[in-house]
Amino acid sequence: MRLFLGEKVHYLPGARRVAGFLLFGLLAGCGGGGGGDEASQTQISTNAITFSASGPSAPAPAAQSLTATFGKDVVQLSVVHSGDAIASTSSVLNGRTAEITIVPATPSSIGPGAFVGAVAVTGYNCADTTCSRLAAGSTATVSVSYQISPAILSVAPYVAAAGVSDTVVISGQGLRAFNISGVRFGDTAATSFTVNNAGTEMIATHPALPAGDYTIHLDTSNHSGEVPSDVALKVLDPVAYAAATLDHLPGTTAVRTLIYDAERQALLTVTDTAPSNPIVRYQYENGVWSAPAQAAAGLLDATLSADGTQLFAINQTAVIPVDPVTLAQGTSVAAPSLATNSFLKNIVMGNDNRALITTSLTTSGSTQGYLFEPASGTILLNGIVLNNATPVMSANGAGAVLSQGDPSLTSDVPVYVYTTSTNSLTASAVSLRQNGVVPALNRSLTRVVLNGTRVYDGNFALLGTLPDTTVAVALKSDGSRAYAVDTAAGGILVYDVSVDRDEAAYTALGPVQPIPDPGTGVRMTITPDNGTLFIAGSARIVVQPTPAL
Amino acid sequence: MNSQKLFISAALLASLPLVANVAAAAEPAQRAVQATNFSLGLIASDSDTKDSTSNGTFGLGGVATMPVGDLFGASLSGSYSRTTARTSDVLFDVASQTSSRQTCRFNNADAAVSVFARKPTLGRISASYGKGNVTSDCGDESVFVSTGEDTMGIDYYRVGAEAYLGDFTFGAVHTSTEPEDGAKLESDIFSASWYPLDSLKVTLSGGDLYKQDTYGIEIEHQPEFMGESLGVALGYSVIDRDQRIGTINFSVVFHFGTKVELKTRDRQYR
Repeated sequence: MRLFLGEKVHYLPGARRVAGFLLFGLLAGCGGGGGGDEASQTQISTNAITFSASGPSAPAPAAQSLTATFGKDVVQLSVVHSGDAIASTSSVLNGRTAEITIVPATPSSIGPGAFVGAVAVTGYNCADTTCSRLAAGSTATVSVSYQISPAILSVAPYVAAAGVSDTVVISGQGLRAFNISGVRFGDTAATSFTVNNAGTEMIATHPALPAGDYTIHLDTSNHSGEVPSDVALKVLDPVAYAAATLDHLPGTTAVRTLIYDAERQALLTVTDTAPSNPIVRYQYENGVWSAPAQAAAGLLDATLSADGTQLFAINQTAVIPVDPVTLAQGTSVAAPSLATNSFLKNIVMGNDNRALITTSLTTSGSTQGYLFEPASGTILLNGIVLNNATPVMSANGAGAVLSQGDPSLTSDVPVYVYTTSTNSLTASAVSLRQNGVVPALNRSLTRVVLNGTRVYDGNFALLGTLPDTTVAVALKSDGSRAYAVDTAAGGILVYDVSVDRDEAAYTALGPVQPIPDPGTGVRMTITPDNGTLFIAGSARIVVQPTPAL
Repeated sequence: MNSQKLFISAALLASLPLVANVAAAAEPAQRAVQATNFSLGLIASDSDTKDSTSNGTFGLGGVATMPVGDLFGASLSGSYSRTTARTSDVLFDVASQTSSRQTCRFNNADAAVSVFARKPTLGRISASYGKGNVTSDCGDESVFVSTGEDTMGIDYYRVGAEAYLGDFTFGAVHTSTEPEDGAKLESDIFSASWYPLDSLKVTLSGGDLYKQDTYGIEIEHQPEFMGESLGVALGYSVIDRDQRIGTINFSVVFHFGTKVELKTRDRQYR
């Protein structure tokens, strides 16, 4: 290796000087450039774009456009984005400008919340003389903010009694997406509220309110503007129904369903009445119950929607929307993949406006149930196989209890619990063979009576028992009293089920309240103000003021 | 700027006869290309634009050079490279389950043919024609301004001259690049190389790409312990403007068959 610089130069005098001079001239010659910086610049018409949607089910906001202007040296225009707020971008070139369109994500794809995104518009230049490489020129960045409001879907029960403080379940979406600092019923603040981890359910306590409609409002610290809401709690003055009996339609042999429509002061039944099981409606007006109105459709069960605006009835194979006043029927939705020899048995509605449907076989056995979503009109199998299950939904719509089987089975089968917030079914620790007495639940599912005799708390711990002669039970909304129709006693017995009897028999409070014989297959319900019991059997419907015990 | 270029060019041309006389007296006559030779190399570069994105390029290239008589030579070259822009420089990172930050990539492929005349003791003049194609994959939609599509063809013509002055080489290259459906891009690069060792070259360059000052320095070394077959080069260049672009280049080239010193390779084989 040679270390002497210039060792091999065969120079004439001054050659290095010439070289040095040329090099100096070369570098000096390059000093005159530097113009045209703007030729590589990229500029945009706005640096910030805002989208908003009124809820996760709302349509996507309209796309917004901006104009990018770029210099003559730009050979390639790159538009890249990040963040959930943006679904896509597109650009249309026109000379040295480009119209860049930013399409926001659909609200249903990302759910409620405050989302951000960014769009970077970069003009690339040739990085070498042959343009074999590209190098970035300037980049202009657009920040995108996107607010998708939480959805308030329902309040359950949607009817409350005037002058009574109580808790309700407000179901929605994204209830944790923003910092909720308060809940209001109209202008009246809730006294307390909690939100579940999934942000789908809020339990709020309202103070005693006078009769009226109270729109549910959420106060948030980081939501721009009022959270949209058209969900209202209806507060009604108690109605003092006098004791009465209502006759079924002629030919009625059994009552399948008994619904009290508190908003409209009406009773609805689904009965076995030849020639086709009808839905029957009794309107209470001016102190008098109307004659029954009916719509015949071969129905097996029905339930009110969470907001009371719609009835959903089932026949053996489909769900049928029914107007709760006129009983006019809408377009039915058939249950898919119904097992051979099986049929739809019962339907209950959760506070999320989704219905749980059970099925049964003409022979003994187990079949899958369904979930029905009225908003989309879809019915899907729920994946859980149950045997002839009978569901009963709590008045706040937060959950249902399903007893299954029948007395002819040789072993007990689990009682299931349906959780509305997750639309899931899980087996409880209790097993039994259901009899003809449907389960009874109080408003917030802290008391459950199974088979008409066994009283449990909300965790299915057995508290005590009722007489075997009980044919129907209704619970006071706070779970402190059980009202039992007892055939042996010939009327209604009242029990204090707020106490734990250590699995021993409860003792009736006071004397029996005699009532007319409702017949067999008794169904029973209680008004939201706990003032009236409705008892329906094969013979008649009995309207009975609740015993004051 | 133009007058300065003319001055430099004139100075280069004026110096050629002077150097020719000196060199001709000292060395026997040599061919423009001593023997057909091949080189294959890996190229990497990192380019950073102030207040914008940076990007990295990785590619490979090859060149075959052959003699055409004593005075002339020709070469065929080709390269492929991929450039990836670091969009994280301009797009904030958003923790997300449903989206990710988009990327931007460019792929380039080109080939060129050159013919040149050279006197190894004097210098070289050359002319080249090249054709390339660059494609982009950026975000949802990426377009070249001239084509409106995600691909752009490139034709370029290049003429150049080099003068060999002992341990120095001075060069000037003019390139005319025609992007598909786009405006022609004219550029000049002037360079001065110095061989402090026959296996080491330091090159300073200056140019006017996009009519803006460009400067560069490159050091190329052909280690003796690698049998004079492997060359490595490291360079840095700058496009001097408000948003300055700095680029670091690194390349490793293997020369097949020809085991000669770098200076000899430059003047008798390349």
